[in-house]
Amino acid sequence: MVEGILAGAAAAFTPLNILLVFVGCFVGTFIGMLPGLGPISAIALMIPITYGFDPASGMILMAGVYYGAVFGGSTSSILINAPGVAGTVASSFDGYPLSQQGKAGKALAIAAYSSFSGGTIATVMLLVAAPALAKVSLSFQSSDYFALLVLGLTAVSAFAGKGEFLKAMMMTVLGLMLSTVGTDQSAGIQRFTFGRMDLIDGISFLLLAMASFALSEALMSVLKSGKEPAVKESDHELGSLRVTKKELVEIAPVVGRSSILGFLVGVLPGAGATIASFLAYGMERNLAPSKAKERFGKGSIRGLAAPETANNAACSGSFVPLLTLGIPGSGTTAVMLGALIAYGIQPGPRLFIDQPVVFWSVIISMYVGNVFLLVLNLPLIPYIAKLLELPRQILVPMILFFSLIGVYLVSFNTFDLIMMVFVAVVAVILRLLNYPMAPMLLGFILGGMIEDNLRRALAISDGSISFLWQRPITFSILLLTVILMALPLFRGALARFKST
Amino acid sequence: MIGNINREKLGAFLFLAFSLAYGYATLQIPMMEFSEDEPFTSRTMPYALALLGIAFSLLKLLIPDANREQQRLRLSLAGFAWKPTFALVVAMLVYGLIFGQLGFLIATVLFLMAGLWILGERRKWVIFASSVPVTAVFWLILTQLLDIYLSPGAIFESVSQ
Repeated sequence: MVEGILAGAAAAFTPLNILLVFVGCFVGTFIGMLPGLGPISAIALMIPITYGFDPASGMILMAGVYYGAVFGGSTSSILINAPGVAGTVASSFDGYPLSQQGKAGKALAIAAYSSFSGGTIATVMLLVAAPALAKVSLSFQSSDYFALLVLGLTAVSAFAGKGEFLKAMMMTVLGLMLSTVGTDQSAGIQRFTFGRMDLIDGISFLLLAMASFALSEALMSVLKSGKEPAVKESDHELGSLRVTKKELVEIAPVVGRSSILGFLVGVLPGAGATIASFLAYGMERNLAPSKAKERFGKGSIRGLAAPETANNAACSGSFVPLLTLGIPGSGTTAVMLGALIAYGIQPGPRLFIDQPVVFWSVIISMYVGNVFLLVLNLPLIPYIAKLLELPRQILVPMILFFSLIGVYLVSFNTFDLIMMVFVAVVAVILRLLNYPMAPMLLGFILGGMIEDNLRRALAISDGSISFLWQRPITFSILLLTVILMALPLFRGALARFKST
Repeated sequence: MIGNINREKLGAFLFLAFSLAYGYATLQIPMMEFSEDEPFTSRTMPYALALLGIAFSLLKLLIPDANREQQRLRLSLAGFAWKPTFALVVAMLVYGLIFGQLGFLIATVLFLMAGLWILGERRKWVIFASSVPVTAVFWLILTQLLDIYLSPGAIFESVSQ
């Protein structure tokens, strides 16, 4: 393991990879700041560029973009009360009031210190948890993987908002359906290609990710421009970035608690940064003494530190199931999984053994990303914030162009451009009907794995479905899945019963 | 009439229709003779997904919604900027169609110019400065720095031959 860490560190600390972390953090921060564009879009936009690098460098760039995008989301939450990503909504509760009080610089500094601390603690936990889980998961069989994948997909829906469970499940099924388009590799039979050569290899995950996130989010921002007033600039100066010793002492225990909570929530498939930040905010409000509790929502530094720490810790946590089981815990890590598969690397327990350099360099570079965010991004924030002033009429065509050309540069097929527009229009309609996109992408990426593992499990058990209850691991995971599915339905039924 | 439809139910109805079509298309997946008795074929997963899709959308259609009034399609879709969005979609489609014919440089410059115009930019120098240099720099990076071949376009290729 020590050799793996050293090899990973050697890969992470090459000049190119350090440059990539820096560029990733910077670009991610900028994209994350743009309202409506989140880490998934930011990473998807980077994928065509990463194809030119080796897998470790590509992942390092994407990890930097991920962290940067989450931090960028915090910046727009604090400065203009417009969270770029769902994971930073809770940061605006107290960050924006601080900004209105002329303490935007302090709020940004607290956000950066909290993110850094959350990332640091979570990286240490990742360092311990990932290899341990990877070793355990070596004993997993196809049926266990099948059950885990079903759990992952169900969990995404179960953690969706109130009344959103069925919609999230429908979107998951849609993603799974789209994953069946193309040639069935085990039988060599074409499915749902309708005689088109362009569909024989299936739908490209990059095309789907770009169209359903970057393109459709850009189109949605144009659509909404008729409904919402233009995002206003912060009325105040940034103010000092200095945080006093007393304030640091006040947020230290908050950071410790939120880091652990954030990491554990991030590890759960489907939970992720949004839930972690809200849980941490709620937990700290409950734990705060009555005087401090009153300040929540009015510019409390505890209320800002908690979600900021938790969302960053959850980002690290979400890498645990990705790197050890090959199961992405969130839409963002699902896009990373797709990129890894495109590199010819199958994440899972074998990654730890077969590709220790990739495994460890990603973990180490995540920490390097944290350091860069603190050391370089924070002083650059006033300048990055200026980019928010770039007019929408210039920004949107650029995003559309980079999304379209990004997909074209991978396939060199103009049919993909037309297909992207079609998918983006469908995604806009689904967004207007209030259907979430992330479960669809997760379903699409996991679809092939689910089918392969189910096929193998059935072959091993001679076509009998008894494997579902004969293996204790499989049975336990499926039981957990059933409980997760039943919870939202039970909650919904209870709410309806109470209202009648 | 359509405006009074609940958007949640409309989504479920569309998904039901899609699942039924998907289920029908599953029946068209060719099967090898010897594989029909196998426990898992190319149709197994699509069958299961079609059934799941039908089941979830029916559940969504049958379960009553809270905030029924707010979910009306007319209310939730009012006030959107439809015209520029639709124009951008058309511009992207045209970009996809002319890309192969006119090549990267001309198609991209035209697309960016159209995008800026659609979104309300009327200053000629801004339209020029945001399209021509961006396209040229990007083209230089791709072709000269990264050594990626970008076709000049079918029209120019046929002229040069």
